[in-house]
Amino acid sequence: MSVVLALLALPIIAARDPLPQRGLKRALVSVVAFNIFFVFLVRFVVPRLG
Amino acid sequence: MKTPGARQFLRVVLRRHRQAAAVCALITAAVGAAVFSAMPRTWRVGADVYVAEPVTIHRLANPFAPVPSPKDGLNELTEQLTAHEQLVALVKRVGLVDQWQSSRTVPQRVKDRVVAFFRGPPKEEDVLDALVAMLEQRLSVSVTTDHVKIWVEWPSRDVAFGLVEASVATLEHLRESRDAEALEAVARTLDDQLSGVHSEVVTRAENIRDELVRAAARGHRPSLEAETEQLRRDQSREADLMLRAEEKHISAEVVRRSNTLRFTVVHPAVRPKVPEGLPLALMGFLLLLISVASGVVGAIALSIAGGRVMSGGQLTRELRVPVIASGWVPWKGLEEPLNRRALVLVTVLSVACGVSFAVSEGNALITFAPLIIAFVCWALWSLPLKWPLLLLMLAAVTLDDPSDRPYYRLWHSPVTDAGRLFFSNIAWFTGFELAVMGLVVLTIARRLRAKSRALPLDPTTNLAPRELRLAVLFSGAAIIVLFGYGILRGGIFREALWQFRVLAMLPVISTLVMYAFDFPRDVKLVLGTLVLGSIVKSLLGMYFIYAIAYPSGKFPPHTTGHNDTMLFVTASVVCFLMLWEKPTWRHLFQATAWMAFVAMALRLNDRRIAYVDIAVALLFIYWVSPRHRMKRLVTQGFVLMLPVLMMYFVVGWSARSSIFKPVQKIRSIIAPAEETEEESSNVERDIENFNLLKSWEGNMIFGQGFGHAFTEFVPSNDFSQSNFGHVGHNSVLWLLWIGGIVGLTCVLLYLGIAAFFFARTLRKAQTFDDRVALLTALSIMVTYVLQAFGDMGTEAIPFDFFIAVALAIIGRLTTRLGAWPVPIARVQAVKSVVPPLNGVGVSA
Repeated sequence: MSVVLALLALPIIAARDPLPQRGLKRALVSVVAFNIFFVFLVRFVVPRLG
Repeated sequence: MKTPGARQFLRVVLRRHRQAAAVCALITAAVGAAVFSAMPRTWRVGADVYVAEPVTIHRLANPFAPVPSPKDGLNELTEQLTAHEQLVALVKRVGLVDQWQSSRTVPQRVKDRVVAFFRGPPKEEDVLDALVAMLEQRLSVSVTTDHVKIWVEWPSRDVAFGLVEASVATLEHLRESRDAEALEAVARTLDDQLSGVHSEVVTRAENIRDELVRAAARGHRPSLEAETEQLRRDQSREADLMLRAEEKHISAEVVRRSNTLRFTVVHPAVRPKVPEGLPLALMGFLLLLISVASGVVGAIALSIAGGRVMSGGQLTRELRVPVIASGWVPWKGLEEPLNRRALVLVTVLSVACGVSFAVSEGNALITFAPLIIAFVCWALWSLPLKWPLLLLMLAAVTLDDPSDRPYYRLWHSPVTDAGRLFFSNIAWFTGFELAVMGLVVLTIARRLRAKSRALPLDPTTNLAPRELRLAVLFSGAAIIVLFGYGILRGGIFREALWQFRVLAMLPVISTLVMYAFDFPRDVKLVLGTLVLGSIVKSLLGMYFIYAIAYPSGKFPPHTTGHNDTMLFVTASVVCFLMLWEKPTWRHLFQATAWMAFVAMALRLNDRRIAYVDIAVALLFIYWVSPRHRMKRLVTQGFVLMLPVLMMYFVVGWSARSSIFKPVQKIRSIIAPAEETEEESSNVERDIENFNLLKSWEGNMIFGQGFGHAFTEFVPSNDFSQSNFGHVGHNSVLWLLWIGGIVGLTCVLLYLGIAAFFFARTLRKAQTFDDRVALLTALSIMVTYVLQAFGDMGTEAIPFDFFIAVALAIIGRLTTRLGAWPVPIARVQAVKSVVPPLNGVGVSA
């Protein structure tokens, strides 16, 4: 579900911003940030969980 | 008022260009007749041989040997008779190489001279190879239960006859040379063994005798029990070998002697009186027909290109004044001269019609092929781009993809051959890729000529936001960069090509669809195509399962392919959306009628992921929808039913009753019962995902690029299914490994941007059509992502079309509803469809 969340849910939430340009920037930033967070989880957190 | 249409247009066209039409018809007739008379005719000669084993002779001659079965060696006969060495022998026996020169027709001789001029005269080996290749195509051998039929189609009657006769002789000789020699070989081996054993027996007997003599001389009794026992065994073996060798010798002789009785020529080869093809009278009629058609098409082409013929209907529409009289007087007003390019085109078309008639020897489809091709080219050039795209979309959702194992490979459906053309490689690319590339070229060419058009064919206003179009192109660029990156890192070009070609087509198709369709106006067209596709697919699936599979005792796990899931899921969601957005009786009736097909198709498709797709898509729809009446109703209903649903799930989790089948389905996805097919499938996928993730750890940021295979850290049973690590079932993890987190983000970012525009537009959409279209687009995106995560979603051609449609719906509606600030669109002056009447010849 993480990919659905990153690619669809986060931009839909970002679209609520009253300013369209700012909303688009937020959507892009949230997608990229989520992906970086995903890498962090897989690289550092998941291995420690065993 | 009667509105004159095509018939009147045709009459006017033919009256105006009657001379040109006559010339076209004459050219076609003359070329057709000339080429037909110069072309070699095909002569078909056949023979039918009845095969029966002479059982009595076998029994009488060799009562202890098993009688050979009549079917022995029959299945291999086709292969043996058409083997390369047999064909070479046949060519030599009939003396085809000597007849080569004299058998050539006039066009062939001309061709030979041209080739000889550049390359010198052909060598005998080359002629032999060419003849063998020709014979390979023209000799057919079919074997039924007890008949062998041999057919030859050859440009010479006598040669065809000679070839069949020689083939029949080969058939009769084959058995003798093959079976008898094989038996003789076995007999000779046995003879060799026999002589070896015999010498051993003699030696052993002599040894025993010597030992006995020596023992008698010494006066004591020797212990020769072991030696004697071995001698007895050897003697017994010697007798057995003697019998077997004798039997094989007799069998070989029986086969040799009975061979002539085994084959009975039921229908011997005879020289035919008439060549293959239609009778001459019918050919003449067909030539007349194609000539007339060529003339008519020539006249139409000339008038379209230059003459500007108008029908009364067009005049009525333009002038808003009904045409009430027609004078039948040829218009003598100002008339444009004939277009030279059109004249050349029409002449070429007329010649092509004549040649195709002669070459096809009366095949109606090939005869009319030039006209059909000309019509298709004209239609492609003149019609809006959405029509060929709709046709491609229909083909993508209805044709069978051979790589998708349609109908479990038990049935060759009516759309299988067309599917092979569409989805398999022809001329380096698949038919689908060639079609898309052709449409791209067409679009560019039309755009370049757009300035000279009075009205653009495609909707050039209200285009999708630039940001969305750029995101799609950015995805394409990222794929190309990953391709180059992978190859530079030592990836295999061929594998890379298979990995990225469907993925790379998506931006191209999306750009075309975003440009060609104008939503919501075209929503009904697109949905109608999907309805048609889903109905055709489900009907084919039902026919297969109930008329083919079950009656023959086969119970395939699925009928339609993996790629059809998107179609059925989208169709199901649209049924739901109609009621969700506007719950009327009419919608209820329509949704129920359509859902009957779709539900059946879903059941026959039998994919767990389809139900997950529907559930998640509906959850998204529920989430993004405002609190309208249906949402409130569903919420209240769900809250009220929650205790019952929980009970149902708890009880049904381990139950086997069919009432709890939905719970079992959900369980098979979340936590399948041990030692079931679902559990095995989940484990295999888990292993593959683990291997992908471990491989990804090699380069988490930029990945490997295309052309590589992931490492099999944990052995998997279906590693071959992933093309030995080149393709992952989980397309998301696979892309993550291919492009790293940067590549994945760049390739799929367009989905995020589309979701953003979707959410902004949905708030502005008020009409039923707009809302259903937008929510359908969301459902397609959700399904695409889930299919990508679940089972190679990025590797399916039909999915490219679905995503393209979703992006086009969102993009067009975003601009149309003003959900995104775009520069004021260039207002295009809408000029009249019809050019000014000055200088136009009118006859109404």
